[in-house]
Amino acid sequence: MSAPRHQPSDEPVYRESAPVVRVSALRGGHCRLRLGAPSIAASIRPGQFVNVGPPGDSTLLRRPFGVYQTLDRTDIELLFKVVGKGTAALAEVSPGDELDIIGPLGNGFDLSEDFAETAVLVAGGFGVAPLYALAQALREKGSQTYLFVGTEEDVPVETSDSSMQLSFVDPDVKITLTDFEELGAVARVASMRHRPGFFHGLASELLERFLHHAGSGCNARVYACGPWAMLKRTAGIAAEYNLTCEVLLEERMGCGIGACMSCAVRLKGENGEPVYARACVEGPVFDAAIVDWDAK
Amino acid sequence: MKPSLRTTIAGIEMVNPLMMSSGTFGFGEDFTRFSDFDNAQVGAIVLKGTTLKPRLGNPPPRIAETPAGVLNSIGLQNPGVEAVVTEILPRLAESGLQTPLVANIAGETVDEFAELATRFSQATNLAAIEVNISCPNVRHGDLDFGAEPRPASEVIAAVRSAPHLPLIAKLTPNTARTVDVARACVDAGADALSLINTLTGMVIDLSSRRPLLGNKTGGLSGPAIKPVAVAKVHQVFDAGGHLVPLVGMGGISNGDDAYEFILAGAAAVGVGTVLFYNHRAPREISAGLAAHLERAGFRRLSDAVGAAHSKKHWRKGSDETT
Ligand SMILES: Cc1cc2nc3c(=O)[nH]c(=O)nc-3n(C[C@H](O)[C@H](O)[C@H](O)COP(=O)(O)OP(=O)(O)OC[C@H]3O[C@@H](n4cnc5c(N)ncnc54)[C@H](O)[C@@H]3O)c2cc1C
Ligand SMILES: Cc1cc2nc3c(=O)[nH]c(=O)nc-3n(C[C@H](O)[C@H](O)[C@H](O)COP(=O)(O)O)c2cc1C
Ligand code: FES
Repeated sequence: MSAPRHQPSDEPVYRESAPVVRVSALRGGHCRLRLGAPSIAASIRPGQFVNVGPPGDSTLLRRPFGVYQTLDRTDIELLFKVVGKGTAALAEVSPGDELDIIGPLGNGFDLSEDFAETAVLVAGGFGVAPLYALAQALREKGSQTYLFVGTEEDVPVETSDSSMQLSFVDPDVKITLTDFEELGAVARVASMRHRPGFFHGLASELLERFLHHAGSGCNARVYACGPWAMLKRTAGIAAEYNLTCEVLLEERMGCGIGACMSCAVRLKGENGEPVYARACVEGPVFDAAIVDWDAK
Repeated sequence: MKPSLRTTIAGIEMVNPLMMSSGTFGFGEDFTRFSDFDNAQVGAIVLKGTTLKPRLGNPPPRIAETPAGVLNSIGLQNPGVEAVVTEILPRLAESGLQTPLVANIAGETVDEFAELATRFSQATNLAAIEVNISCPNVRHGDLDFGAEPRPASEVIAAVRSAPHLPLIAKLTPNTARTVDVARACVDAGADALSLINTLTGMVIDLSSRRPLLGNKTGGLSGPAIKPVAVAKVHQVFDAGGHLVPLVGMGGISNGDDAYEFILAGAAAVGVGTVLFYNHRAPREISAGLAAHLERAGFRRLSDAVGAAHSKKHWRKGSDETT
């Protein structure tokens, strides 16, 4: 069961001393981290997050991360990029170390409503991390899933060449994300640089081409995670096509549980007045139609 | 015999001296989502700073981590006194919560403070009012109520004239005149003093070359400010602040820290930023504090209050009966 969208989460939160099961460095400063966290693994839904305590005394505050996937219902796997002090320390942990984590936090994607047959996921860089679990859930629901990832750096996860021909891009745009392809999803990667196998442009342009090609009858649902500018463009395109779009917003956090008001996201209130919602309980997933896209 | 942690300050009867600090504990309804957190284990809950009208708060980012500290610029986002008195407090009462609740009020004018106090005294489940004359993230025109004795005492006097609830004046460290302000607050009728609120600070983002916080400046809290807070408590206690009980806070994260504040002169302590990274802190702090008292041979907490001072002071309103 999942909470309806934008209802603050009031579900139980667990704290676990999570042993590091595996840690692997990936291309471009990305890291995959498998942790034993049975209570969290058994209850977390796509789009919810965990707050990971620092290894040793490396930082004071916890760091929020989406969950790439749950494994064996006992473990969770994170996929993250080293961007600062906290993630650098996390990349240095070894199997057997324990991390103090809390979760599940936040509302998660809305999986309660009747499903559109088509789901289009749009990600910027490591914004792809929280979308794999979503793609898994969508497959169970029987949706056909498309994923468009934009990145100027290394793709965070394993890639391969897809043999599938797509009508909305040239045949040489064929790099796919192996994990997603194995789920039966169609994935392509966009870059502003000319790179063989990549779509030349933005991930949101792939979305636009896809929707344009699918025509006005297309009943798709859009999900996005990544940098603000990308989310804003994606939300604009979804609105143009009258499609529901959910965005996962990353905001700096204090408590992660709703008590401190640090993680404010500006929404368009009912009478046009702005309101701030807490990304850690009313989010991190928001209906793109109510986000105030001029806030940043 | 295990020393008792039971504490009464300004008429607030608490199972232990740990008061969850305003702004770090919402309205008491968040941390209970942890199965191992129980509001009954804390001495008191100080509610989020509340204003007359609902307040939007400052633009994000609102928080930055600094060495051993946290800089915040929430800007007092809150639903306004009406919602707190008519929705939140009744809901807390209905939940059967026994832990004393303290409102934290922030006005933009002296009259607003008085009106806030009047509105809050209509609530049936409040143990006291903490008067926040020290929020660094909100401007009152040219006035900073907590920086000088006169505006501070005007606010306290105005609030004092409202129907009776014990008053705690919350002091800012962002002034050289802490002691004078403390004295002015006591003279104007404060039943207790809490100190310290956050220290004004700034972080500049090196890549954008702009202040990182949306509000540019913020308030520093956490372990980084503890020595400043201990010094302020010590100073105020010494200078006559011992006439009323002090609630010491600033970076308390374990029993050692809490004990240090008690020795400096605090009769109770605030627990704030530590909750963001360790929700078990209240339990750990209580246990650590009790162990310290036992080791030092104090039979009750009040015996240790101000023990860092050369001579023991007399205190009014604190627990002297047990
Ligand atoms: C709900 C949510 C899910 C996330 N999921 C992932 C994920 O799956 N993979 C991944 O690589 N990253 C994810 N992030 C971003 C991740 O939290 C940051 O990259 C990380 O906190 C950076 O910490 P640092 O100490 O290395 O960086 P620093 O810049 O040194 O961090 C300083 C402070 O800013 C905060 N901060 C910095 N960048 C961000 C950011 N983008 N979002 C929120 N807080 C930030 C930090 O938590 C810390 O408090 C997610 C963020 C949120 C809010
Ligand atoms: C996010 C945050 C919000 C706060 N909001 C308030 C507030 O509304 N009113 C108030 O009097 N103090 C507020 N404070 C100050 C705390 O109550 C406390 O005085 C200060 O943080 C020092 O204690 P600490 O280091 O244990 O957190 C806030 C502090 C933080 C970190
Ligand atoms: S991080 Fe504290 S309310 Fe969201």
